Amino acid sequence: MLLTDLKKDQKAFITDIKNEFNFIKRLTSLGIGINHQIELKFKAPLNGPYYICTNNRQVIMRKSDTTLIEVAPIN
Amino acid sequence: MNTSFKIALIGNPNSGKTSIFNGITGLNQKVGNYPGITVSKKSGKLLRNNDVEVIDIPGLYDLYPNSYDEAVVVEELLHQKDDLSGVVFIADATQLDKSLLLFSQVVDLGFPVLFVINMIDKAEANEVKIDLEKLKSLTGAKFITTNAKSKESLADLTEQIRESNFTHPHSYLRSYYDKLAAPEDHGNGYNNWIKEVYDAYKLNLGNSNGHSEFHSSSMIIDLKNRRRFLNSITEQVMQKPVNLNLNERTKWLDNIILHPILGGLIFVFILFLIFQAIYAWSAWPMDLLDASFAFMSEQAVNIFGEGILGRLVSEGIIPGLGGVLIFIPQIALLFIFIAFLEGTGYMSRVVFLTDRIMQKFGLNGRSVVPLISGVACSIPGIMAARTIDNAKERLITILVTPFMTCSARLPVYVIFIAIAIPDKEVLGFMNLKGVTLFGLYALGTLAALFGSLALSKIFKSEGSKSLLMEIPDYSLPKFREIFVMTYEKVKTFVVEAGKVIFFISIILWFLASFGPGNYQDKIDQFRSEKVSAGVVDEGVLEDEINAFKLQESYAGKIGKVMEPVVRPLGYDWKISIALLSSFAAREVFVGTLATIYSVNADFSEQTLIGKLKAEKNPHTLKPQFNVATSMSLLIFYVFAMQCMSTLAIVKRETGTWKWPILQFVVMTAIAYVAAFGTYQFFS
Repeated sequence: MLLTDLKKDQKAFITDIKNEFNFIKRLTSLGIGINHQIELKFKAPLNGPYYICTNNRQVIMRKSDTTLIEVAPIN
Repeated sequence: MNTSFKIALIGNPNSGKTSIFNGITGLNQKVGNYPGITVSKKSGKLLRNNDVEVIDIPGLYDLYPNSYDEAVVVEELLHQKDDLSGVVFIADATQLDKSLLLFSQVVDLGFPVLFVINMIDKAEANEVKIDLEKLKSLTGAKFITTNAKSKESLADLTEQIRESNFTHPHSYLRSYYDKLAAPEDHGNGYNNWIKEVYDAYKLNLGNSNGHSEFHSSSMIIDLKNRRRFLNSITEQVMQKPVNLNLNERTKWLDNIILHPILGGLIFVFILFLIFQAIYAWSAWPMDLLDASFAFMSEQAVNIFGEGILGRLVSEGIIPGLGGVLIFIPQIALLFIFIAFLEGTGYMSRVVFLTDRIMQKFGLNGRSVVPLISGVACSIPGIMAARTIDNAKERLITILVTPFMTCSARLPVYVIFIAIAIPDKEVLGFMNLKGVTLFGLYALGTLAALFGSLALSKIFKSEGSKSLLMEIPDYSLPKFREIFVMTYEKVKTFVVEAGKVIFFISIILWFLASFGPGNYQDKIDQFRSEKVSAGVVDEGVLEDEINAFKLQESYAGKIGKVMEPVVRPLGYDWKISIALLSSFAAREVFVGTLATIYSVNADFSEQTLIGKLKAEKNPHTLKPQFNVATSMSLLIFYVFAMQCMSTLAIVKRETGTWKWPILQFVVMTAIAYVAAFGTYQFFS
């Protein structure tokens, strides 16, 4: 399943990140990668950005970016 | 240690670098630009030690550029390499794992480093523990812990810098890059690689991500290898609660501030508050400045006399500078609000709330603040666009912000709405004049949004469409930082805009004060005729002479030359002069009309409106300022770029005259066509 499909407050592990250079590079620089646990906290209205918590930091990313991340939900 | 040397502060965004920079340099700062681009380049002298220069490098996540701004910063770092005696690397203690990536790259470039683990108080509060001894043995770096809010820890850091306590930590991948380099470049292999990436990035800016496929994959391999190795270090030295989540304050506030409905309402309320404050709170300091400049003009006559020098200073330079410096209170207030909102962490949330809507117009969430600021004055709005990291979106924001209806347009709108629009109600509860005024504001906003849309289709893309941004926790900003940021922005405005305005004021004064041929004789003759004709009221006489002077001046002659160009819009030579003079600033238009139409010394809007309504077209003998001409003028001012201060700031922010010239030409052309269409429609 994709990060896009997560519901608010749902937790998951990152299982794969599609090879989009800028995105993968920035994720790596932020210390976010495969096997990291994430939690979707907020979705902006009108298909706006997603607000995600991971590894002691909060990041926002556009909905189009969330389709690049595959996740495995934690129950 | 008393030898002069230069050091740089480097760290990730939100690592507290600016607080440390302000703390160790005080107000002893200098703000410039990196070559060719307006990423702020801040430098200062270490407190109580003027021999140590400190450079504040803008926050980076790594040394592989994602935008032109980042590329320039990387280039500057490479360029400064031989001049820097050391690098103070600053990391947020709670984000140490993230920060080590950039640290490893800085070390591989060969810089001596002093590692500052900042916000140690926050780490303790979040139960994050760092084994400094182990970290020291694993990295080979010298560490110091700081809390930017504590004067003691900043004093300790200042002392360490003064003592030049920098070391060469263990390198990470330097030997690998050295092996790839030519034998004579050993030791510089990683520098050469970063330089190669930078050069290629500049050449490839038009491509999807700005990097070649080879460089992209090499960079990813490099970053992942570093990350893997560094993760093994952080696992050994850093302990933090499992699944550390949002802190309670951030969680509670975000539930309110990012609420789908409440969040939007709060945002609108904050904007409303800012507008109210900018208009209401700035009124008395603006009046005070206005009075001060009037006083200075009077004093200038006393000091320099009534000759050319006295008139140049009292009628040209002082009013010219005063007309712009009067905006300082508005600019300062706006930046106090922006600095406060940035300091609290709210601005990042604004990006979250507005990004989707702004994206539809080729902008991003960070464009909202500049556009809204533009309603007060384009100048602070354009300066606020610095927060936009995407070069293309920043440029578009700068170019369209002057379409937003700034406060200088208001006097023009008030006068011509009074002339053109009848005083009647619409739908039983709205005043038609008020509706028209709202419509003009809406038209300006639509012009900005659709202008963005058009520009986003024209400009080449400089980077991906992705938006990945860290959101800081909420915190209470420090007064000192708000003060420093506001002071810095106001100083930049005064110095940079002031230089251009100074020269343009002199030119405009000359054009309006002198005329061809026997100019002075004509004025003397006109005065004699008026006195002979029985005009005895000093005020009326002066007004009529001033109007005549303007008519016979170079500006008046130019107005007559321009008349055929503006006649299709319904304007005569007098309006041409007002249009020409209002190039300096839109509000000058009303003042010039008042002079031309000989409104006496007891000037008021109503007197001017009465004069304008009574003015007849000499050819048709019908009112000159009919509905068609007035509407045409209103529409002209919605679109026209009549503000030299804005142009000066655009030049400053883009680093070239190309954009302000293009902006002036395009906006004037749109204004001309729209005003022509309006005049024809209402005729």
